[in-house]
Amino acid sequence: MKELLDHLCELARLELSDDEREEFARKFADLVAFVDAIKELHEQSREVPLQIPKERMETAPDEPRAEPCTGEVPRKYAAGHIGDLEEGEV
Amino acid sequence: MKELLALTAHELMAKFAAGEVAPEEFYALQMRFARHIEPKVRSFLTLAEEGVAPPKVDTRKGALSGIPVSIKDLLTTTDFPTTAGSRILEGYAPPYDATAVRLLREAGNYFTGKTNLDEFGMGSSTENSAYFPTHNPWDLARVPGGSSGGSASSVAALQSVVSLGTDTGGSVRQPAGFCGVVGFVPTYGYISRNGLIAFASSLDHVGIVARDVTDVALTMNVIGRPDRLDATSQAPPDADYLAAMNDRESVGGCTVGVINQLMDPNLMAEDVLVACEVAIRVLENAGCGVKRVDLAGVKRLLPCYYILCPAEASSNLARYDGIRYGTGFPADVSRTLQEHYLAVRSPGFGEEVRRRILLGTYVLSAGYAEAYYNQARRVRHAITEGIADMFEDVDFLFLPTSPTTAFGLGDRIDDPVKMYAADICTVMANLASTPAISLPGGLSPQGMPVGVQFMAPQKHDGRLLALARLYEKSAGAEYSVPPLVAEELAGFEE
Amino acid sequence: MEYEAVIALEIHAHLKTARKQYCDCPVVNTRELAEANRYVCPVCLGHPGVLPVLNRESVILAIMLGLRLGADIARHSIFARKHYFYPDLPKGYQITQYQTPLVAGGELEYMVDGEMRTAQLERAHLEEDTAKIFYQDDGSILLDYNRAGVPLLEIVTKPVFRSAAEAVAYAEELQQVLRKLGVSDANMEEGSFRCEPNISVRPAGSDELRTKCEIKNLNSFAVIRKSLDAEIARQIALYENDREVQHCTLRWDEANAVTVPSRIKETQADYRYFDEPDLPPLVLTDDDFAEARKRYEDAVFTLQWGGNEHRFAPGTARLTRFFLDNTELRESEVALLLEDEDALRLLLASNEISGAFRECANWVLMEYRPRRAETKGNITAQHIADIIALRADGKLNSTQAKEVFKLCFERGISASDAVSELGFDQVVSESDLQKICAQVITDNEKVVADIRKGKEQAVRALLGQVMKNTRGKAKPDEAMAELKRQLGM
Repeated sequence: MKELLDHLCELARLELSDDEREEFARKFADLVAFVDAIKELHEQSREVPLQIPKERMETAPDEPRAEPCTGEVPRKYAAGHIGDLEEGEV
Repeated sequence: MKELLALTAHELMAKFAAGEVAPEEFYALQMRFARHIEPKVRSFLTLAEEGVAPPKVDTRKGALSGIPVSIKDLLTTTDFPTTAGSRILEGYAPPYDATAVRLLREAGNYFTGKTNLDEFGMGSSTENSAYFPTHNPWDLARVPGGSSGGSASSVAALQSVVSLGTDTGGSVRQPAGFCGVVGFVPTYGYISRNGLIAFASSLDHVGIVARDVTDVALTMNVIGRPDRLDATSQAPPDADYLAAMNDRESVGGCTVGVINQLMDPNLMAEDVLVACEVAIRVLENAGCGVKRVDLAGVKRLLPCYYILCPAEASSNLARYDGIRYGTGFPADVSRTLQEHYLAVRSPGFGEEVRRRILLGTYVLSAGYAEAYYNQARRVRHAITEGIADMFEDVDFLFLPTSPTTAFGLGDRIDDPVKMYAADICTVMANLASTPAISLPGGLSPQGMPVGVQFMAPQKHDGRLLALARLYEKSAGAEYSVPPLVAEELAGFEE
Repeated sequence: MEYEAVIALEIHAHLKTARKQYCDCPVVNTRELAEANRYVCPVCLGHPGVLPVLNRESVILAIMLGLRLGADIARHSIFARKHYFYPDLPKGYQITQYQTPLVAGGELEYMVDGEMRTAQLERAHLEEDTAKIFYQDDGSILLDYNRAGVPLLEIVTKPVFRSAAEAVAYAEELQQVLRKLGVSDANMEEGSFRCEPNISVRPAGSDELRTKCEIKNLNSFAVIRKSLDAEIARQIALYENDREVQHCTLRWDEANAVTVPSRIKETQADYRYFDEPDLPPLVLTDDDFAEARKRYEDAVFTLQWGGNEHRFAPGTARLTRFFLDNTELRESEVALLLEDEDALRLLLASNEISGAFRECANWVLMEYRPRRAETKGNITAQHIADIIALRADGKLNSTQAKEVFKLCFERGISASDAVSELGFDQVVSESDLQKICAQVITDNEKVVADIRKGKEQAVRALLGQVMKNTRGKAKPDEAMAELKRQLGM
């Protein structure tokens, strides 16, 4: 369970302190057991049905707003060294 | 004048129209009392500033013009910071208003402030707020419910006439039930989600907390409108919910289904079941047919919900990285990006939020998504179909709002699974995207409010309000001021 | 052992829209940092509570490409979220299409060494671009979200290419197709056309698919070609030494001309795709198809040739083959013309009138294009046809013809007006010619002496003088005859 939690933390960019880990692992195990009930059910369809009760989206016309956007947002963004991340560049 | 504070919005509108009190006068009174009682209940994360003279409003402008409304702090507002009850958005000033907020603003409503909630809406008690818990106005030692606990307590404690909440699995209806007020969620897409800080997008609804059904209908007439900024929005453009609510014929001789599996003494507290049986008799006396119906797979409801909802939450909360706004912005560039992410996200999210992000990440991750997430989607579909099938037989469904009345502060906070069980009666509507409403169903022997709930098929919102109004009238379920609040009001000097 | 390469190309093209994919910010060129973060809004910055609304134009553009490729166009498709953490990705996920691409299958003909080949496509789907990262000297980064949310079409081939040359030729053809359709500017330098090849090698003739590697951040066709060749060599060398190829992402090291695996943690790649709950299904209407079809048809190139109408789907390969087969144009000339539709149209129109294809081509390539590079000009097909006719009738020599062209180009007056304005239509009378020749002979004693000594070709120098003194109006053969007569030759 702790290994699983470490893996999930890495994926989600979260960290648990040493104090937290024990209790977190216990409660997380309870939750997994709780949702495991879903596995006992056998649905016929292999298809994954849609969730939204709207059959088609409305799209927007290709009309940009006159700049700038309403509401002030910062115009400068920075971050530290990226390091060894593999993602980026879609 | 302070007796005005316990009126409903439509009663106040009549006073405004008759010139007995001006909206700005009432607003000033509202704010004074809100502030007066706030230390007891703690409904608000941000209260509107004192001493700022409100602009005069034209009460003919909209169905609710001049009525003070509180806004759950999960809806963006340009005039108040918006935190989602989380440290990660501490002090965040949204650059835009949520569509529902904008519509109220344009209709000339006053905002009393931003109400407390479980962080990002994740909880059933408002104890998961990163800032402080809110207290139930009926018993300060108990929770107000959640996650829109501050919205419900602000309406019950006479701090606002109406409140906007959000409901992903019962977050408007359950606290409304706990606090003895009305809580309504419309059909998915009937109130724009633009500006609703996403928790679980496919389950999130904006909802309304009010003192009676008429106020809900009036509020829907202002905010239940289509929105081009929300691609999932599907509200009928000109619906008149007040007219629909008053259309008694639409519910004449209707049949209400009572779900056997949710009237189970193993699941529901006795006081809740007693209140429900009373409500059922009220319905029968009002001429409704009552039919006992079975819902297959009640056991599936919560596991299904607690897979889908964390899955979407893990996705929706990925954007909080402290690079563009919120805690951590502007980023300290001397830290590596990885250090930055961890330094912002780990302390920024509370325990329950982190738990749900990790659970959601788990059920979506490679190797597990099929068994959990995809399976839950199929189950959701089956539940939706099952509910639609029931609506072939009956016009509405009746069920408790919550298995118990408000529980004590701290009672469940250490047991997430037990906390989740409180949602058994409310997640159905979200999973099936249907409208639902919780109404006051009397008091328990301990003097705590019990909520009773009605559900209607998708897009039958107007008819649901008509049924709710019928019940409200037949039951004589007028809004009653909690004793504690009445006491405060008595001692309040205008 | 003989090896063959197995290459597939993944190309990201910016769609040519005015508005971003999911918000109403304008799309701007993002090469400059000067105006960074000007074209942003809460939606493309991923603020809390915002929702995407898809730009219809990008759907139409994608359908147009689908029509061009003869692909299946999904009447019903859905969007998905692809999750990963990166500072250029505002929401922590990219809204893309996963299980149901808008465009599936299809094929594209391209030309390698004059030979037609066909590439099969896997899919083309809609998504959004990320912010642009500017690396600072201290290792930190600046972010420009102007690019975040710009509509992208990701176009993926099946693993059909067996050489770097094939892959590059396909990419060049696709670039032309996108431009001619008006679907994308497809500019590699500006980042609106980004190629990512993935590649494996296997024993020649085998049909196995071995471990593949992906090369990223290639910014020109030359670099794609070099990096693919280098990567093919790297993988062959590994197999030759009984080693395995490890799945990885590579970058191109230009200085050392090698592909270099990036240092990465592979365990992190778990994109946790699921359906985007904020967007209901995209269901195409008949109107969508009709509009895309019309705009596609408008981009089809129609050519009148030999009394027949020929239609060419937007692109260059088939058209190039046609010109090589039917005209004397060289491949390089065809390439110039196909990149310059105005020039091509002018050539074809002037050929329609004059029928002298090669001469029309010369005028267009050598006179029209360099002048048009300076200014738009007023030349028409009729001008070119008239000038060619004047030349053929011997009314203009080549220098005069160029002057006439210049005047027509600059002022748009008819060729005959230009000829008279330049005085090229005034014939030199016989007596004038006699006088001028006599004068030239008198003025050039030395040349005349040379001629008398037997250096007969020196008479050409005298002819030059006569032509100069008549401002080119004398007919050279008549002038030569007169000079020879007076010199008694």
